[in-house]
Amino acid sequence: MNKQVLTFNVNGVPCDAIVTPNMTLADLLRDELGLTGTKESCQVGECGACTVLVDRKPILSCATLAIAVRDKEILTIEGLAGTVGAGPTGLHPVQQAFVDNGAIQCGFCSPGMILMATALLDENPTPTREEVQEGLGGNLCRCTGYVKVVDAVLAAADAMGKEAGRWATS
Amino acid sequence: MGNELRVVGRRLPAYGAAEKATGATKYSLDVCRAGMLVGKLLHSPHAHARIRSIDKSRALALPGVMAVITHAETWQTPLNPSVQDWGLHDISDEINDTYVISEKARFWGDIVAAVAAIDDATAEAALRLIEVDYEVLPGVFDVFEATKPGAPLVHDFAPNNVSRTFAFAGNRGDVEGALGEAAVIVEDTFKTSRQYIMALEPLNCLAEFSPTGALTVWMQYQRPLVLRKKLAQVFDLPESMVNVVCENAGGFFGEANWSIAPICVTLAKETGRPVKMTYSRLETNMNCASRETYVITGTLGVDADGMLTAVKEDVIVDSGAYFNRSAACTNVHFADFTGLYRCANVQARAKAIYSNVPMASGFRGYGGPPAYFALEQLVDMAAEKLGMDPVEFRLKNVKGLGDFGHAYPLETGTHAQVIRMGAEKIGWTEKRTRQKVDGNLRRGVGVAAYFDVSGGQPFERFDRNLEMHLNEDGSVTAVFNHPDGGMNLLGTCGQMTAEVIGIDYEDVHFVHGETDGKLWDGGMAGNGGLYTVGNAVVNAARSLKAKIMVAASARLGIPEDDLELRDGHFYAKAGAAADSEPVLSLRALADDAIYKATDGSRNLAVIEAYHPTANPNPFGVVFTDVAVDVGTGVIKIEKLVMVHDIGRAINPATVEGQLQGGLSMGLGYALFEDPAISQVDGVMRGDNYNSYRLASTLDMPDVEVVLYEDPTPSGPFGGKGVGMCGVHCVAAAVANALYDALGVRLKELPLTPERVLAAIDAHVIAQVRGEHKQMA
Repeated sequence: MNKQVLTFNVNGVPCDAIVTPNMTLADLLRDELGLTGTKESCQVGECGACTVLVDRKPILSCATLAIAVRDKEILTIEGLAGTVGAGPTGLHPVQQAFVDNGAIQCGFCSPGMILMATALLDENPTPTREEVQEGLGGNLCRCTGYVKVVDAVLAAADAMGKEAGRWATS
Repeated sequence: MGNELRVVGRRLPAYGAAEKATGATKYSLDVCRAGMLVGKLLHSPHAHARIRSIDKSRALALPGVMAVITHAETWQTPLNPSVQDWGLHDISDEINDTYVISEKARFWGDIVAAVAAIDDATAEAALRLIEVDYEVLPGVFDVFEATKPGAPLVHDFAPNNVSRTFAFAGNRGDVEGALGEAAVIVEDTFKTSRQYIMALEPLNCLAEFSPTGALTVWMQYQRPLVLRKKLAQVFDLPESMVNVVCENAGGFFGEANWSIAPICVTLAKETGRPVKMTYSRLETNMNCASRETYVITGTLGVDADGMLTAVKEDVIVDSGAYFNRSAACTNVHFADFTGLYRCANVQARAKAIYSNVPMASGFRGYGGPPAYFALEQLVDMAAEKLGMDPVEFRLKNVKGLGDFGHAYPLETGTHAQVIRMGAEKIGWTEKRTRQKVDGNLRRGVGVAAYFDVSGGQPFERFDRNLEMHLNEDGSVTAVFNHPDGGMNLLGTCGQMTAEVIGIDYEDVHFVHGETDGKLWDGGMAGNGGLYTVGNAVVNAARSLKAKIMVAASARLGIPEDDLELRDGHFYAKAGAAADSEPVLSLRALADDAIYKATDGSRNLAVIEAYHPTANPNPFGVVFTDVAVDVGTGVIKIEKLVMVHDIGRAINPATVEGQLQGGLSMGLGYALFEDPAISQVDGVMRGDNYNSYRLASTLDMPDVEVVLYEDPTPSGPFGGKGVGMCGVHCVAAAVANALYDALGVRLKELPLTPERVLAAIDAHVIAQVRGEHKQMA
């Protein structure tokens, strides 16, 4: 198949890669760039595990062709820490909240879940519990039963709100 | 212990959580090796077929195809991947009937051949070029069809497709006599469904031989040393030449079918290159284990005072095409069904049946969820006949101190308190008497109780061995073989180690990712982690601490009894310096002892073992408040309350997470999880998350998990098992709530809207007929 050179930006770093037209973004990230933090579970866009942000919007990388991200900015889980006021361990507030709230068990759905929650809070910084449940409705988890996941997103919203407030008043 | 706990009981971050949150954690799916080939499987398109011949020449001729294997190239001694013949208990109930690749397809999707090729596309093209001449046989997809005379035989050695009949080892008393004298008898038949593991990480395996013939296998498997033993057996290798690597897994929940491993290893052997296989979601379902389907006919006899006098069940187990864990799961089922309540007369029997559907095996809860679905409905039926409140009936009959659990005496007698607490939380009395009709909705509240085990002892080998080292920097490392599958076993063990030794949680590390260099350990199953591994870890930490205290005493010239180690520092208990300034840091002691070999105390490391001799029972109860729409048949669970006796929660957030996750799995089992295996051709329609539904955030009701703590004497810090417990009772509690709401009993899982509507219709028709009869 016709290979193409694709230019894009991943986690703030300009990249180019040689891709085939049928390569998925998930395969590009995992197999070509070694960014295995993006997880693939269902392989057909049903579980949300492969969620990454493209130009700050969540997309399913297993159901997106690599060539669709030409000249776009991709944020994967590896690039999230450090993008916003870091927590005590250098994590993004959403990551920190997942760790602190016991929202991670096997962790396989966590990268997608965390990026989806980040995008959700980007759009709606003060969501209700129901809005979080709605926003994460497409991200499946077999371990947690979601209670602590939703708690974590609400805690992150709270922490990020306080952080923003601190900046605003200082 | 005795003193106030500093680390145990705290909600600390799970081990490895930050790595998982940043995507740094490596699962076997993420592993690549230089020169790696892709392995793919050819599955039977027929549910039952004999293979006359396989022509692989066209596939082999395709450029990029490195190997094609069939049954002829694989080990042809039948095995049972889940049976370990260690002489620990009678395994005459077990059957070795499984092949790495079989000569006969016994279910739709059974593995017929495998290829190794340079990439996915080539491997897939090669599969299409393998020519298989099938002699298609009629199939059986239902246990009742399978046992009819003349039904097609799944295995030639099993007449009428009955693989085994077995009786519970705990049968006792005179059940028929007790039923003869009972004031109330209830009997009914319940049918449960096939629930699939559906963990997020698809099943995958990577196999590689070194130039010297040593084998390394990367795979998610919760008993890595058991897999090593099986692979050593199949490939005739000494165990020390096999290394199974599983540091992290994207969910376990039961025994993944191991057959991917020997197929992958055979391909690696044939090609001389590393081979990686990744199952699709459908393949993961078809070739992994599900929960067995049970048809349970249960009978309870109760005296006029509401005391159970007889518990009886006859069970038909649908094993699917291979026997696998049918015996173990059914024995657990017997113990749960007959053991929850005090009763002198008990009789449980089962018949395991082969059919042309994918095999079942051990899945979180084993035969427990089917047992409680049947038992807890029968209990409600008996209570109703007696005119007794269901909670009151349970309180009368639950076990207490002096009673036996699954195999050992109960260590604590807390079940009644647990049930009372749950009733209070849900508002039982008010909800039972409220107005049930609310427009199209009917409201009901239901209860179901459970108990469980803390490991498989005495029936399975849960021996634990580990090393524990004091490191040069004053931290401690435990070396053992437990992959992280998300249960936070490592973090929990870390908290206990930190507590015993007197260091910070962050200063406990684990080496755990591969079998090489690890002492024997039977692996994870049956709620066994916290209790059995935890006890081993506590033993090791105590031994190591004893060595540390000897060294510190010698170094400081202070008697051991006058020294305390906490937060990584030694304090003198008496004298001017008491409790103010530390007299020495553990780091300084370790540094000197190890680098300078002072005081002859270099050897600050221990090896410890734990061989369980007890098995405390965790107890619990689930209450649920539901609203059923009588127009659509849709059940909405509005509230789930679970009270669980954990003994002691080493990390309450971890325990709650295990239970909340179990409840969501139990909710799926209750309401919608169904692989939709066709009764016509055996095809599994539930091939992915769109067609086999898992609970999402949108399905989760208001969940309240309450931990009841009453330390169990033999547990580490009083803790006991939890992992399987959440899944047991949602279906039973919802079915009982449905009865409260509608006055109809649903006896078949899952409780779909169609079944709800059909049950309502049947109920209405029966009522109308009854009225007609009365008029006539």
